[in-house]
Amino acid sequence: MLKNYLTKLLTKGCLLTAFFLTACEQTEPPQPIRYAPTGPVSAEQQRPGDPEAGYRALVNNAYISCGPPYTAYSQTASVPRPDQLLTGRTGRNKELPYFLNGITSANGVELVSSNCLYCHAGYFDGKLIIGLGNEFLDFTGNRTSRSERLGQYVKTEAEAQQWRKWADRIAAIAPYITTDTLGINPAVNATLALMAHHDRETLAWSEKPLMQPPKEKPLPVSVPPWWRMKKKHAMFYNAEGRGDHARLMMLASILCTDSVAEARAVDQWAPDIRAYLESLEAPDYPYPINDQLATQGARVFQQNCSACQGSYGKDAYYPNLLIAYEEVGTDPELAKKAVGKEGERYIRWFNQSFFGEIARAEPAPGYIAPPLDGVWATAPYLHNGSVPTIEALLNSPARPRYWLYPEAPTDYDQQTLGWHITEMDYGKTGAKNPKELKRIYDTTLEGYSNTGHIYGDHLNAADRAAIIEYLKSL
Amino acid sequence: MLLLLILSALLFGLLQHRQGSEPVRTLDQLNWFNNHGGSFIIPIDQPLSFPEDHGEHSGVQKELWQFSGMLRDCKGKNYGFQVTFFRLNMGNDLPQRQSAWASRNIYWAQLAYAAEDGDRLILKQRTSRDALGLAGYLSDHADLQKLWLYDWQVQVLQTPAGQSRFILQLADKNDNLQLTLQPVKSAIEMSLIEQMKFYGISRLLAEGSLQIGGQSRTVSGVAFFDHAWGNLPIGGGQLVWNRFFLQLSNKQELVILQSRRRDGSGTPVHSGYLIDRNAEVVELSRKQFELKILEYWESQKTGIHYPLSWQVNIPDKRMTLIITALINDQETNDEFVNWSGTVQVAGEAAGTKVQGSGLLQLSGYEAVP
Ligand code: HEC
Repeated sequence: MLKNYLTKLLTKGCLLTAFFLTACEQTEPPQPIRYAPTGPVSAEQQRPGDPEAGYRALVNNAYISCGPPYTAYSQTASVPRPDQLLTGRTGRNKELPYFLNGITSANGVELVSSNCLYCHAGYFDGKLIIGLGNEFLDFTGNRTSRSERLGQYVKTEAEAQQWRKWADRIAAIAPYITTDTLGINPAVNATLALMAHHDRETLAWSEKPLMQPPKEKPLPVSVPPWWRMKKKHAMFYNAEGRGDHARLMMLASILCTDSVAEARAVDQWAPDIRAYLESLEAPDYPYPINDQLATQGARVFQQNCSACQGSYGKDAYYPNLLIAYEEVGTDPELAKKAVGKEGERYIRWFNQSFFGEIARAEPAPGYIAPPLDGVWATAPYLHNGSVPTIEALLNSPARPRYWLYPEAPTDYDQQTLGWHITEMDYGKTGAKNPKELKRIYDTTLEGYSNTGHIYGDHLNAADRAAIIEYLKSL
Repeated sequence: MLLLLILSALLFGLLQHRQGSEPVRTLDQLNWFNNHGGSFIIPIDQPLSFPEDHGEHSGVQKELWQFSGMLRDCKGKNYGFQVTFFRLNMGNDLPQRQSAWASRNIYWAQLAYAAEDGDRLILKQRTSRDALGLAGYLSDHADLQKLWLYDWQVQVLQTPAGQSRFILQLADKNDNLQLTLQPVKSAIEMSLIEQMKFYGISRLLAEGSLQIGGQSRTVSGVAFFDHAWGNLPIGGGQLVWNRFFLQLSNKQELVILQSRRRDGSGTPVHSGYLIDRNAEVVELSRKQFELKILEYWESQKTGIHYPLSWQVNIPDKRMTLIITALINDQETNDEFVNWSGTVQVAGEAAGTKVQGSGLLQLSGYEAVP
């Protein structure tokens, strides 16, 4: 008891200054941190769930428990297009676009909260595909202007309380989610910032960070498709998400989770959401495929790629292989950071929190070679989205150093398996105006490098074309 | 997002200046319109098109036109002016009646001016429904659009060269403003939410006459025009707004929109636009400039302390401006109280001295108890 009380006192004391913070941390015996090795990732027990219930929960429930009042939203947002509406939604959700859930706050105010599909649903060939990462979100502007200014449409005090709560959270994480390039997703940095603002034990929100927050500038990350989870034994590019996947996924919803009780309530049906995610299949390639060439490609693939990426079709097999970043050679920053000094406090936070009860943050110094189902839909490629097409991925000298990020998924190139881009002969420093600046993907910047994964370089053009054709069939 | 202050003023207009058969509207009723109000067209997200978009967008719920600027007579005396037209649509699903009394819109207009040696803002207001031809909007051929409320009117003319000209005619007993406004820069879109369109023309040359109390003088100067339609907020909700529309002698203009929470929590947010002499628009992020309050003025009528003297710094552009009110009392003491008035600007830009004038709008302020 007393010890507990003392620890609490000390932890509170820690907040006073950064000096005390370090001083105090030494009073708690540092837990040894476990890192995962490279090599095969083994399967772990998952809690069972019902995929259908999971879908309903995903598109109706209040796992992100704050948002702007519905009245303010309805006066300011545009009416959703028919293609933005989903089936299987109830009540207010029926009329909301796919990326918002209608929820009711404890004080009875109707709110709209952003859901997982904001990042995890995308368009291909004009159709919305649940599970496809949205690679066209624009996080380059500061998000507080909008959340604050919505206050103009907020009337009652009950609504105002809810609006302030949400706007305060957005303001707290805004510095950590402002990217400098279109399409780059700041979810990882956002999560780290949110951990810093939530008490590890109680999950209570703190206006001031309780541990040092991450660097403001997010490392570039592209949103992976959910259907990979069917095969993957660990979550995230560096496979740091170990143990119970449902618990790990819940971390993406902690924006307004303020108590362990709240988290436990969501945890009741989180396994259903996991089951739904892991039931998802990659979509079918919507354009013609040259079967003969694809069969030829299958052979080349088998010889050159399968060892890491697995095999598909009848005797499908996926090796769940984690490759050291030195070996694969793709931009190391994301993996390095997680296993470096900077990552320690987040690993500790996670593993000692409610989330760590049945899940673990256990990064490895590398990246997992992902399953390639539906890979043709997921451009741009690599974890940082630095390579615009599969053609360039298989031929590293042809990768553009600077390119203009496309604004929407409207112009697909069936030859190269990517969105049409414009190659540039200058990077961000040469940008002519702010609009161009945010659209320039500059692979010379830290975290943005397009190096590595040179496993297609030795192939001839015909073999590469055959592999591309084959990938369309996955 | 803008100009709720005008909206507030106009609510007052609707409440206080009912004419003839006007239905009684309480604030509650208006809020009802605001939240549920029938069916309205929501402005669609498409590029602006002129001259059509200068005119009325009939299906939308609310629409606001505002001209403001500073005029100078031949003796060198300065006058600030603001001309506002507002339209409230009561609902597209109101039953269509054939009667000449039938109406769907309420119009409200205001003429406000202040002389530099005056002691307060002079306000004239009018309200009417669009029944019986008392108020309305007409565009019978492409070259002429007209918005009127009784004998007050704004005309948009197209010159043969395809440029728009605005003609303002507002007479009230012994006061009379007649202005021709000629844009020298193109419109910039500043819409902040999806259900609303908002653009401004940051510099127009103004020429005409201003008659005050029976005495007329020839005037000229620069003006700002802004126009918004869609779901404009009525009242400020939870926010206090400070809006600056400034025109500088170096032919640049600066627009700053700053808001903060009324309860004092959170951090203020501001955004801005700097329009270059060659009409190039630079959107200023909030990191690029800072705003400082230098001095407050206390209104005797309402007890509100308004920040009427400001400093703006834009280090990137080597710009420092001091903004002061032309006269202090430009408060509109209506149902919603706010301060909307002409300001003068002096400072430096890129190493040279600049001056200027503009409009400052402060809304959402409350008296400190
Ligand atoms: C702001 C965007 C965003 C939101 C919202 C979001 N995610 Fe993610 N998600 C990402 C990004 C980016 C990654 C990749 C991170 C990494 O691997 O390092 C990711 C990774 C994942 C993964 C792992 C995929 C893999 O292949 O390893 C799962 C599962 C997942 N998210 C589920 C969810 C769920 C469930 C929610 C809602 C509770 C959610 N996400 C909300 C952006 C988002």
